[in-house]
Amino acid sequence: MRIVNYILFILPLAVVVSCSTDDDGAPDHTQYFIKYYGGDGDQQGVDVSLNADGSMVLLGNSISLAGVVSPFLVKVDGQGQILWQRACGGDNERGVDVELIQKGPYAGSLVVATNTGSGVSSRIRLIRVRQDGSSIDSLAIPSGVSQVAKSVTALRIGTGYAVAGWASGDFTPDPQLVVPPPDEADILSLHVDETLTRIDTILRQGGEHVGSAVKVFEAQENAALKYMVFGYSDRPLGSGLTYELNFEVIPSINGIQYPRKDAGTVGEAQTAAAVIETPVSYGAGYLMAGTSGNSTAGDIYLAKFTTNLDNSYAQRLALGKSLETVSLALAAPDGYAILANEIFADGTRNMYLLRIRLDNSVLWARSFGSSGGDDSGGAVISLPDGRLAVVGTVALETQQKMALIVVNATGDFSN
Amino acid sequence: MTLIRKAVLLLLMSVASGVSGWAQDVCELTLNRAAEEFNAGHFYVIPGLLKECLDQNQNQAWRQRAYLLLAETYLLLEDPIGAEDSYLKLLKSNPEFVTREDLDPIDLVYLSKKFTATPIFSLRGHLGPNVSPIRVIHDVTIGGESYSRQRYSFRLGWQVGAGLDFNYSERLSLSVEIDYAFTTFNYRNSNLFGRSKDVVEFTDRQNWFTAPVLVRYSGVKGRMRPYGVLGYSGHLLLSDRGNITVINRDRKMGEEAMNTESVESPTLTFTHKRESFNQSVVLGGGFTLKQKLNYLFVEVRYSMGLSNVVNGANRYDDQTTRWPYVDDDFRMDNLAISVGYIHPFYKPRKLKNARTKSVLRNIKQGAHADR
Repeated sequence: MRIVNYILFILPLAVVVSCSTDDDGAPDHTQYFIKYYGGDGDQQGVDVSLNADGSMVLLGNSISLAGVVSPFLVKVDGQGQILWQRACGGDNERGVDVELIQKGPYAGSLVVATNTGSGVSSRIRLIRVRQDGSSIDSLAIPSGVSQVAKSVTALRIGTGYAVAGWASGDFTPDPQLVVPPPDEADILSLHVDETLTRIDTILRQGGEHVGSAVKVFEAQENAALKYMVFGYSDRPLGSGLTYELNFEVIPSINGIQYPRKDAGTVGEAQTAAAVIETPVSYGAGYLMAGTSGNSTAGDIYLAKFTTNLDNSYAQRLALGKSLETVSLALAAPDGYAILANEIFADGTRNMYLLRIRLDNSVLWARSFGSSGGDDSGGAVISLPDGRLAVVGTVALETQQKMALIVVNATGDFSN
Repeated sequence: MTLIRKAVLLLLMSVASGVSGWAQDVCELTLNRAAEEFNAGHFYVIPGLLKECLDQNQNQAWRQRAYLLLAETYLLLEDPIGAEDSYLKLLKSNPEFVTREDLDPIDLVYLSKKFTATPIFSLRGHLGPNVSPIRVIHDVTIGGESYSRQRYSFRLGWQVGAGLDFNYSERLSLSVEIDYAFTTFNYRNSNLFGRSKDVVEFTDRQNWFTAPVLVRYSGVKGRMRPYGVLGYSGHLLLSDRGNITVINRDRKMGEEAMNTESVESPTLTFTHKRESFNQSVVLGGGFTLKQKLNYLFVEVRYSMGLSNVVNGANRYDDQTTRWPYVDDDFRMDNLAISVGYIHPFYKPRKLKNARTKSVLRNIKQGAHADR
């Protein structure tokens, strides 16, 4: 009977040992996941704002079955579970950026930049929303020409909000333009005060036929507040007369525009998509990310500026793919995360997340999306524990949905 | 010509069967005569009488009777080697022969206790249907909803297998099997997107090699013998494929009518999203039905999965961005009903430790009526 006794002893032991292996530590699916959000119709993911408690507010746009577009906000906890979701804004309005207000009476609330209408009737609107999802107020910025916002910055040194985008028409044609192409878009930056009543122009630049601000940062310069308007423009570089898109940053103090600084590669068109402030450990300054190339093939393009707005470097990342850069984030401890869209021959896209080191060498890259589906990125942020969160749009078989993708520091869904 | 051939063939067959039948009849007469000689006390002539017929390889019943007579004869002739040899041959003729203390001579019963014919090994084969209950470890949602309104339901799979039993004793045996199993289940989530809520259905189908190691405790009396099994099983996943159906239910603002669109995916591979090796504890029972020297059996077996079937590292992939389905972490059980066949390899042999104590005890107590 010794064999039988041995078996009867081993069996329960095997059961105990086997059962104890499943629940060790926090389950991966609560830390790394893909989750979809939305209601009836289609929903597209655009941007995300991180709160100190780990919750996130996702901004997207909802497209009803009748084709009406309106901004859509979802607040989720750190595991991606919905805390609330709501439509925000009106019909034919698109959200483009959401930021946490860190100063003033509305600190802790959110400011959302949207574009209402389209074409010549396009206008910029700022909407303030509390963390519980309730509306505070909003302002549709009046304008005689079409204006389009690309981002809003909740000011921390100054007060109020700085809007970056573009306006149609050229109210001060550049005399350098000997044979000017049709003037389509000029860099625009506006300041809106804390009460959402007063609007000042930080910058409106002419002289280009295509240009746009993408982000405004602020800095203290002596006693004055200096705005730095980052964007792109096709104004000729230096004293040249070739109209070609390149990165630009234009300082503005007390409404006075100072000489622009640019970065680009001659013979290529660079379009800026995102800008971040870089800490001292990364080399204090600003990193711009965008796309260099033409309409059918592009590469990620990076340009670094110091705090004095001197261009440290400008570099194209040739990865052998057709990419359009969407968003940029610091990725601790030693690099950046770049979100791009990979464009395929049939016009469909996949999200492409890239982790680069400080020397711009590629650490890893991950693609999110399905073959044949048009999946596109909205924004990437770095979470305090090193995880990366991507907001975008996935084309499910029957509908588009806003997606939140959270991966670990190596782009994977597990420890 | 063909007719002549057939006629000749028939004639030869008739002659052959006639010769065989004639030989059988002769040996039957010989055996009867040997029995008469035994009763008359003429023991020495009996081995010689039976030898010719035994050499002719008679049928099983005849040989059993003949060797039984020979064993009794040798016992009376005080030839233990001849008695043991005859009894061993008797067991080879009928491995399930047992002496009865109330009918057989005590010295034959005593002799029988020195032998056994129980099979050391048996071969078994089985097949039948199964269902796979799912036990969720973690509810993983693909939507931002905090919970899934989800339901797993049964679908009918099947299994087929073969095994080898090591019979430790008549009651206790150890089985090792190699089975092939097809398992399947349904999943439905109805808490996804919008006021009207989309419905996602998933049908999963797996192919497994399983290797159960089972301890079996059996009844030994009667034609129908119950038994129970307890054991451990390793499962090697060969493939996992599934289909996802999305029922998109949207309602236009201000309209009661609902737009419903149902789309089913092509067959998708889920093998990489599963752990290749899984394990379970097996509990079951059934009964065997004796069929001559073999057994038919019916068995119900429940395998309780011990490990998470899902490979969490591959939970999300390109499929996830096309079809709104994501695996929960789950353990997979299996309830299987099998019918099968057992072929025991009987091995008549002399025991190292004869089980003669009970016979001696009975003799001492005078319980046995010596004839």
